[in-house]
Amino acid sequence: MNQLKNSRGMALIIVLVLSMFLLIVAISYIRDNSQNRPINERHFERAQADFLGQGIVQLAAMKFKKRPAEFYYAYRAMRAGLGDAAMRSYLNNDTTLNGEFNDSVNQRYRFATQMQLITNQLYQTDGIRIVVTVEQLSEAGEVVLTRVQEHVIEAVRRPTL
Amino acid sequence: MRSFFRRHSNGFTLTEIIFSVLILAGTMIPIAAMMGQGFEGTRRDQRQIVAIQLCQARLNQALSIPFDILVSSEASITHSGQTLLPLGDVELEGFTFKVSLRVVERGVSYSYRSVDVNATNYAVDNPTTWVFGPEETLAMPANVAKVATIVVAWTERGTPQTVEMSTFKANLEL
Repeated sequence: MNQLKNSRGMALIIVLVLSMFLLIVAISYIRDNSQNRPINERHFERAQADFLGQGIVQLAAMKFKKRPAEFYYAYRAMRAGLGDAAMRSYLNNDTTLNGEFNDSVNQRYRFATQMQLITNQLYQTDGIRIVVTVEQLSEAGEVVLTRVQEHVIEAVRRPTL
Repeated sequence: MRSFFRRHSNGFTLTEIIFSVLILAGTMIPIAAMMGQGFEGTRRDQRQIVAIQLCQARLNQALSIPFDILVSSEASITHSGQTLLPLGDVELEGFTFKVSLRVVERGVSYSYRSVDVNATNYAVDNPTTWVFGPEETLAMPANVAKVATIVVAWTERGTPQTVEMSTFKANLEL
C-alpha cells in the first residue's frame, strides 16, 4: 500500500521532464537556425567586398596604364627620401581608387589602394603590386569586415640609354 | 486473482494518463509549430545561399568577358556562337532563379603630379633634379569603365527576393 502511494504522480513527473527536454531541444534548434541568417549575410558581404576589390584593382591597373611615368617618378622620389607628396597625389588623393561604395542593400564599403614597385634585378623585370583593402562599415562607421585584394602587373623595364 | 489486480493498481491511474497526455500535447503542439518554421527558415536560407553562389559565379564570368560586349541583359550573352555569360532562368535545387546583368557606364578621374621634363637641371636618373608640378586630374570618358551588377531574383511564398552583387570593369584594351 505504501509502495502504491509513492508511485502516484510519477507519470506527471516523467511527462514534465520529457516536455522540458523537448523544449530545450526546440529552443536550441531555433537558436541555431536564427544564427544562419547572419552567416548568410556575412557570406554575401565578404563576396561583395572581394568583387569590389577586384574592380578597384582594374581601375588602378587602368590608371597605371594611362599614367605609368607619373607613378615611377612619384615612387622613385619617395624611395630617394624626397618626400611622398607626389605619391600621395597619385594614390591617397585619388577619389577613384579611394572612397566608399554602397551596395544594393545600402551596406557601406570603404576602399583604399596602394601600389608598389617590385623590381627583380636578376631577371631584369619589374612588377607593379596593386593592393586594395576593402572594409565593410557598420551604421556607426565601425569596421566589421576587412578584405584585401592583391594583383601584380608585369611591367616592361625602360631600356637603358 | 486478488493479488493480480493489486499488482496492476501499482501503475498509472487514468487521471494521471489523461493529464500527462494533455501536458505533452500542450508542449508538443507549439514545439512542432516552431520546428516547422525552423525547417522552412533553413530551406529559405539554403535558397539564399544558392542565390549568392549563383551571383558570385556569374559575376566572375562577367569579369572575364570582353569589355565591349558587357552590356545590360536578361538573356545569355553570346559571342561568335559561344555562350560567354549564361543569364535568364536557372533551375537549381528545385527552384527557379532569374539571373540578369545590369551594366552602367562609369566615368573615372585620376589624380597625379607630373614632372617637368623641360626643367633646366632635369636628369632622368637623378630624382633630386625632378620638379613636380601641381596636382592634375585625368578625366576619363564614361565608356572606359563600367559598373556590372548581377541580379538573382526568385519568389519566396509569393514574395519577390533578390540578391545583387556589383563590381567594376575597366577597359584595359585602351
